[in-house]
Amino acid sequence: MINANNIKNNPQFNSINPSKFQIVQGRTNIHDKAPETKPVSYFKDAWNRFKKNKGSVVATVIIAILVLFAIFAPIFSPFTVSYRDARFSFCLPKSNMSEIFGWDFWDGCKEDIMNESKFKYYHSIGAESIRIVGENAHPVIKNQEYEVLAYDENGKPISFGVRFDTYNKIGVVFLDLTLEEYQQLQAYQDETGKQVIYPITQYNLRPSSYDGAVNDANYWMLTENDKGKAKILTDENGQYIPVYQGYRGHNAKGVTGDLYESSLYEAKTLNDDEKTALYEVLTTAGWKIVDANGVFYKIDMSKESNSLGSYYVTDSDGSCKLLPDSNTYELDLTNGEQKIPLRKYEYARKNQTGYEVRVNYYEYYCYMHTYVLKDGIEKPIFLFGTSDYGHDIFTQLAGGARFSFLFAIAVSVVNMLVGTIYGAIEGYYGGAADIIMERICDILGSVPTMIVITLLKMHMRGTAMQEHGHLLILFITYFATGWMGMAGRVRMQFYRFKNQEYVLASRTLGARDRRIMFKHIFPNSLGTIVTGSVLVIPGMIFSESSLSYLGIINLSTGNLTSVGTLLAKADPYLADYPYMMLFPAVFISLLMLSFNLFGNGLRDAFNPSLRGAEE
Amino acid sequence: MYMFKYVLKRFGLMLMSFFVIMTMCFVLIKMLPIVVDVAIGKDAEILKMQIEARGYNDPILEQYFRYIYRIVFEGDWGIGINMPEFRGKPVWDTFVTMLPPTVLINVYSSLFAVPLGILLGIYAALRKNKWQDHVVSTLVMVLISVPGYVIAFLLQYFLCFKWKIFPLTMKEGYDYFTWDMFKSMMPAVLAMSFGSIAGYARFTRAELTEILTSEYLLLARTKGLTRRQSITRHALRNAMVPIFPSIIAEFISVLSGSLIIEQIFSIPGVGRLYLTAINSQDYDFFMMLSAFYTFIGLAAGIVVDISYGFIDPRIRMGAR
Repeated sequence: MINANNIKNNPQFNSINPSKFQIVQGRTNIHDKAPETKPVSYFKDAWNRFKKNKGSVVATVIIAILVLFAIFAPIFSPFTVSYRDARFSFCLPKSNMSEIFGWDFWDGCKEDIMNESKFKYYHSIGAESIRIVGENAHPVIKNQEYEVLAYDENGKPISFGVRFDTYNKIGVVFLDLTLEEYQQLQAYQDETGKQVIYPITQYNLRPSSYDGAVNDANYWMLTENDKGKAKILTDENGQYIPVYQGYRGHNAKGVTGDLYESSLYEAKTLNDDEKTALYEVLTTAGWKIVDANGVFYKIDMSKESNSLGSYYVTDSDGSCKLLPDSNTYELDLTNGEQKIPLRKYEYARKNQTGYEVRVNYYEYYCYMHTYVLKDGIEKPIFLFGTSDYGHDIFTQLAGGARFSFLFAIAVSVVNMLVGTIYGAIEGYYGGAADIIMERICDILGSVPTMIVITLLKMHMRGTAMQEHGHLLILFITYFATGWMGMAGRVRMQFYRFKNQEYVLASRTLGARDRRIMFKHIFPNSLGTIVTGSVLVIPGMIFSESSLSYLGIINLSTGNLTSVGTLLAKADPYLADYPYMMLFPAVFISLLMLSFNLFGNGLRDAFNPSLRGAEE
Repeated sequence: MYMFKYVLKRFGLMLMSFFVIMTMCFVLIKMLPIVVDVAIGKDAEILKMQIEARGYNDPILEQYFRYIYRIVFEGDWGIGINMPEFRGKPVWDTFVTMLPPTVLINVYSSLFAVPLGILLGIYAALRKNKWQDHVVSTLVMVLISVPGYVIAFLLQYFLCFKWKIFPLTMKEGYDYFTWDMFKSMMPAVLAMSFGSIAGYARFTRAELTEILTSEYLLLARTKGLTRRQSITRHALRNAMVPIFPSIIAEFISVLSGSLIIEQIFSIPGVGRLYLTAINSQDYDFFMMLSAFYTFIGLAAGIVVDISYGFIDPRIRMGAR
């Protein structure tokens, strides 16, 4: 054994007997140790750096949420992008929650101040609804609650503060239905117990003013002509005076008080000479119809009258079907039961094209979508409100976002491919080829986007009229102006890497240019290319939205829309309906912000040397 | 001498690009049929005769040389055809009347944005990694990311509709330097300046933080200068080297304005003229405004490059 001491003590160590030497390692071979840690790949390394940037991670999550919104919202929403219902235009955002919990926000209502005539108009809509259906009425003024803000000198209220329900503002509308449609609607009423059809009003008592009030079904009460406008009249108690068409053609003017029935079928006598008064009385078996002599009548459902929704009440003569109700006949009217004059109204009027009815549009909408169309829409609830044409903004925004994402990614991929190849050739070969190609890039790059798109639009006027003409124009424009940026970036990378040793080594081994370019240099510039491709996406979405806003590009055809189109459509209503602008604007701002943060994180992750540098 | 040659070269290249682009535009435009959107009558006859007399139906090449000749020697860029208020009038005159609102709004917004942006940037850089810096940086990030039109909508809604501080649209008339006019321009000016403020603040902060950690600043402190002295005399001056060219570029591109801001606040400027011209297919307007926008873009680019050389003597352009 040789140790340090021995050597120290023995200066003549170079004359040690060789037999004293021992081989430390015998026949075992020494190998390189296998690395104990896993190798970190390029992308893994970038990911590790990316994770540390909190802002970027949050931004990525937000982008993911926005993308999920774009993908799934149109799937789960019952509405489609092309859905529209002009009667439900300008509806404020409303969520289901507001109905369930009785919230006073996000309930489709807005604070409003009304003058007297406007207030009366909307108040009466709710009053009629409550009069007819009671509990589940559709008042325009939320809960019919209001606050008097100002009185005139006589102490009469002139200004009212209310919460205005935009979903019920349409109130009641006139519709022309065919017989089948009418019967179907009645069948629906029977099944669900909902009241869709409201009594028809007397034609000669409708307002005859010039401002369209004659076609406004909401005037169910007596009005007078006040300088060409319909003025709503009330009786001494402040109640509205109904002008419903009585079932026997009686003038209902002056009839006040409550309507005690919500039955779906209405009584009507056959002939005009049958003018014995009928009464409605409350019995233990419910409301029954009785004449002055105490004879009960039954509604004959087997026969239709020419006034739809009204059924014959037959009397005891036997000429018509006589059906005195024996069960209820026994009940004595003298038992202190009150006689109430029967106030039955006609529910339809025959006209040239069919039957004119007054329907509560909210209920009619529910009926139409659940019973007739069966398209998954249960009731009008628009999470983000509706546009001026009655489009659902929620679905449109998601559809627009979907389009924007898809379009931006498609353009970005195409630009990446073309730009990479172009830039690779420029950077790799250099020299004259580079100078010429760079000049071409320079010239093309300095044409403003606006000019390219205008020229294209002028030349493709024929195509632009077609459904996706504008889409094509937009695509060509972004392609024509977009790939230069990528080409420039790739060119720089190729200049950087083409003189590296590994390229030289590869060339020495006989690799062809194409192999060196795409097998050796390209993977090294991948980080730059990915970052560049991602960073152009928000720019493109922004630019598309600007062009749509300016009206240069119009993408709102059929099932296509874009965020910019939504903004452009909301612009004229900014003062009165800012919610229309709010959601698209928030969406695009959030998208831009998170894309910028995400892009910065990505750039820092791929090129740590650039960390903190701006642009 | 290097400098002179470099400027000459850049200028030559710019002119070349400009001519190639304009030639392309010209050919593409002249390939389209001329649209005359006038009701038949005396006006239409006069207009048709005017078009014929100007030779708009001749071969394209012939028209091209005549077009250049007219521009260079007569300053004649053509006549308006389809927009009723500019019909038959020289395009250039219309353009000149439209220019002041655009320029004024941009000049005001630059006057507002440049000092504010730079001050914010300096403040953030000096308070680096303190809460003040974080507030400024977040604000800058938000203002840079949120699209300009969203900011414009917000301003319009709150300042013009809700609080009624400013009128809704720009005042009409040509009295550009009255108080009323200035007030009516303010929403647009503010909308335009927010983005610029953020841009300058970010740029200044980045430059200044880099300089504050440099060795010559350490030397300045070592030789006895106070922090204030070292910053004002050394750091700020050097930070301004890249910032000044961008200010100059901004002042050149103020001419072109912002289409979208002009549209939102209905400013009767060049941007609106461009939009109405392309909608009514007025080709002479389109050609002139395209030339204008292209030229501004190119000019801003080379001015930035060249001004580096003038501001910072260490940078020698074109030197090998």
